[in-house]
Amino acid sequence: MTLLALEGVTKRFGGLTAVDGVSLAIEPGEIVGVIGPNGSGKTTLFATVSGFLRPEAGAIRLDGQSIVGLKPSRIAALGIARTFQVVQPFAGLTVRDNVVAGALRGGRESLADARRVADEVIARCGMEGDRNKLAGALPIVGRKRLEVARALATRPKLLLLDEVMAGLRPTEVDQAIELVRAIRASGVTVIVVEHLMRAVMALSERLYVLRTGALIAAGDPREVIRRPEVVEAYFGEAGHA
Amino acid sequence: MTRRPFLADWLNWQAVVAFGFVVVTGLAGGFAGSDYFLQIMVLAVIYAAMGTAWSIAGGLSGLLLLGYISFFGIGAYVDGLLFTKYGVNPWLCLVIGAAVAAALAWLIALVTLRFGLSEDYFAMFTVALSQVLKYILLNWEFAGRATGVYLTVVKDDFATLSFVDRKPYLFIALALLALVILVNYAIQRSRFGYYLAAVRENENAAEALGIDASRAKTGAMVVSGALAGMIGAFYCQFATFIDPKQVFSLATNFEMLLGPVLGGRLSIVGPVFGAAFLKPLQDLLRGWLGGEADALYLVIYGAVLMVGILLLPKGFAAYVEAWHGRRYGNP
Repeated sequence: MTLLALEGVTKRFGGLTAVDGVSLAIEPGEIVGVIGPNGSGKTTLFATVSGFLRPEAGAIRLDGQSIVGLKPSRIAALGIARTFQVVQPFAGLTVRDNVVAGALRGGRESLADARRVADEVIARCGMEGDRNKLAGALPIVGRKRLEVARALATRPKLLLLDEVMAGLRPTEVDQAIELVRAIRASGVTVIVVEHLMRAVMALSERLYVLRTGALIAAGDPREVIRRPEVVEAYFGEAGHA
Repeated sequence: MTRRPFLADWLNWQAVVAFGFVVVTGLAGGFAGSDYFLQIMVLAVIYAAMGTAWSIAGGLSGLLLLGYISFFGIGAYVDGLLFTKYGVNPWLCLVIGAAVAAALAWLIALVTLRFGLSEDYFAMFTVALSQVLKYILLNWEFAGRATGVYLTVVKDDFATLSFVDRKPYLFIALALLALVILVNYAIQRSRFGYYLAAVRENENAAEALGIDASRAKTGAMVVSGALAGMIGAFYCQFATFIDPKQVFSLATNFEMLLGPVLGGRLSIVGPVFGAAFLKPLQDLLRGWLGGEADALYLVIYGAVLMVGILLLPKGFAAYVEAWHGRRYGNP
């Protein structure tokens, strides 16, 4: 059964249609990539799915149940975790407390269990060395990693990763790719929004391409990125790629 | 993992020091001879309890709860009216005062969150509400209008929370302070404490992790409100006289917030010691400037509060915490 289904989802800001009638279906256990030029609506799409924005039209279903209009905390409790493109750490708390806050799953976990899970997730994300540091004191790479750790600690069914690899060095990208694969292997479905084509191509089994809020292509990554409309969306009008 | 000493934990250390303060103040009060000093001590302890209770909503949850005295005043009036008009036992009035203040806090949270007031408007709303309550009581015949409420019968009777001597009031005030310290500590140790910290640090990120931000804030408001209502009810028993201008005074409101803000609203030692040091200073200032210049106090306290909030977000407790970290070699 489809894990996440979007039908004609539209989000407008005044006269601007940021997400324009997007329909997609995510099956359990997939890693799906969403790409598109800057301003094509990727982050807005994530914000809409996770409940931070309410769509003007369309349906969003998780496991067949509509989640439109639910609070973000409710949607998170139903099993969708997201990271923020612009990182949002609890700057004044330690890395561990950041992750514990996620591991509590809004109260469905005891503090002792949450601490245990948090330590496991911290180890899995390679952050043991930063465990007792304040999140605000981490460099950007550490904060990106913390975004993933915190989301992962909620033990989601579906993880939305928004540009978690931007700014990473090549070796760090390789580690991140391994981490995302390991996350999927543990039974989590992943949607990756990423500019870094190397990472998207390495991870995605299917690819959706957005342009000015609308889906212009979907399918096998290697095939999709050769399509003329996708090439044009990226390199098109300017023609100086 | 090696087990670290109990006191190496900042929160434990604070709780021990704060309870130490309660015990030492109790001993000092036991030997104090003069009613004048006892009076000052009881008020300082009441302020310390109010500050520590406020810092749950105003500190831990990060709400800019600038108008806090409403809950105190409501508690005082609940006690005054129920006791003098219906003869309700004052101990029970402490509980009812807490319940009524909690209900008010819940209502405030409901209204402000429903309308999504930003934090500065929330602050102004709470201040304005305290003054609206003051004017309602100033015009309410049943509550004695501007004359307020007098508890006429004063006798030595623990069962009715009434004493000729001042010392028992000090011990009961200290017991209330100990309760507030315990509640604050327990919250910081609990899941609820994590929710408050997360919401304070970043509301969106908290929501994304499944933490219901409005529920967390409402909870903090209700706890802070209930405790203030209980303290207000006790204050009425202690003062034996309340009127709207006194228990809803803006100057007193800001006076009560000085301790936690300068002391450190994310800490326990900050509000406790902040009030213990500042309240006697404030009494001296009043003695020096005269008691009628409410507007002048508002200016002074307002300025100090602003500077404190802007320059010392974690108050003096930040320095103590840094020392504590070095002392126990915390990372």
